[in-house]
Amino acid sequence: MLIKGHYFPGQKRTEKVVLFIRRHWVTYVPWISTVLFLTILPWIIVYFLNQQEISVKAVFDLPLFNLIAEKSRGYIITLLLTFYHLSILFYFLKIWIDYYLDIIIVTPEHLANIQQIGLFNRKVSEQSLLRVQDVTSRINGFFQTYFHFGTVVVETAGDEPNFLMKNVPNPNSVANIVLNLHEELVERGGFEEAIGEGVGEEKIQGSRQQKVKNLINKVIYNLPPNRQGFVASDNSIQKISYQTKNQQKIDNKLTDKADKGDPDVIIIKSSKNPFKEEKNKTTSLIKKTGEKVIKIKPDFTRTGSSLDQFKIENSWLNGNSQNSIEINEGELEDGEDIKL
Amino acid sequence: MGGVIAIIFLITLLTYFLFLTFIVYVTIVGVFGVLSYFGLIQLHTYGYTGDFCRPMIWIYFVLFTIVVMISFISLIISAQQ
Repeated sequence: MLIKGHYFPGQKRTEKVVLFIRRHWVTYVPWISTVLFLTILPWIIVYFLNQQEISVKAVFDLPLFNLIAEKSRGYIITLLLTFYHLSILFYFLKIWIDYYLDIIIVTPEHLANIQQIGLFNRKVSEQSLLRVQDVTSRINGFFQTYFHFGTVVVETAGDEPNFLMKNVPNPNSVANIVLNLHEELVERGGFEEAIGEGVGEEKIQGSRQQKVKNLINKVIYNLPPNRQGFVASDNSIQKISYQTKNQQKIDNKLTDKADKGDPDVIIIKSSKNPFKEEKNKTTSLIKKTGEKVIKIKPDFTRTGSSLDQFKIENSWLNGNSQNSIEINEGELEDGEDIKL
Repeated sequence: MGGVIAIIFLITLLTYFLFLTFIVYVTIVGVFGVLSYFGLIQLHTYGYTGDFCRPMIWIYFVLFTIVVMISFISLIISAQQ
């Protein structure tokens, strides 16, 4: 059973669904009409035969069929009709499943196209929104225009085939949403992947400052309100939860890590005093609570991982200075330490 | 030609006696029942919101039951004629 809210393999636990789209219901009408017609077809045939005063059992007067015993003929008709109607019913179930399980999902980071092919085949296509180059919506024909559905084509970077979403309701809105999500994702700083996909270097260079600020904001503002630290190393960010508010214990742990030579940055947030966001300023200020704040020396050398690499200053671990820092919009430059 | 006659003979044999006919009938219903079950398993596994899926499953179940009952009654009536 699918975990509730988890729809495709690449979906992260915190990744919310922005759009959950099925094909427009109009595309289902021809299939339903076919099923209904096939259901009543035998009775239409019987009616016309009766109009011509021809009995259904007259078919058994034909050559070869007259070899069938009289006793069996009624049974055969019953079995054939049973088989016929059950086939139509099963066909109805199959197309219903095909309609119901064909899903297009748009999250803030991914596009997913889930296709149910027949009863036992399933195809899931995923695409990162970072790879989006262009989004086109198309509405062709009378029915698509009247019922407001069409095709959305998402052109992607690299050699990957374009992402095609057919018979989507309100394709213009869907295309706008996908484009907006792509732009938001790029601004949030997913450049490592973007670098690999050929996004312009000048675009990345100009936003490194924003990237550091975004990282700070993302970690600090989104931490749950318990005492937690993030340790960033070459290949991962590990979350360390401290069950105690004992600052000494926390400091010891940080010192241990520094002594081992781990390239870490520790960001600790307290639950006591939430961060204040002043108007027109983005701050990482922690008001006089004794918590350690950020010490980041941004290093944008790509290490091959998806994260930036930061270095911790040992002096920060050993020092006891009151730590508060304020970062204003536009102040941070490449490589600049945030001075405590 | 020989094959066609053989098939006709087989059909006649299977439908000459009521209990054989009933076995064929149960086989047909059983096959479609199993296939329907697989389909419902797919819906249960991958059903996302259950908004209008459950009513549709119930509709299918009711229609399936109706077809089976009507065909069974027809079989009984044919047997008594």
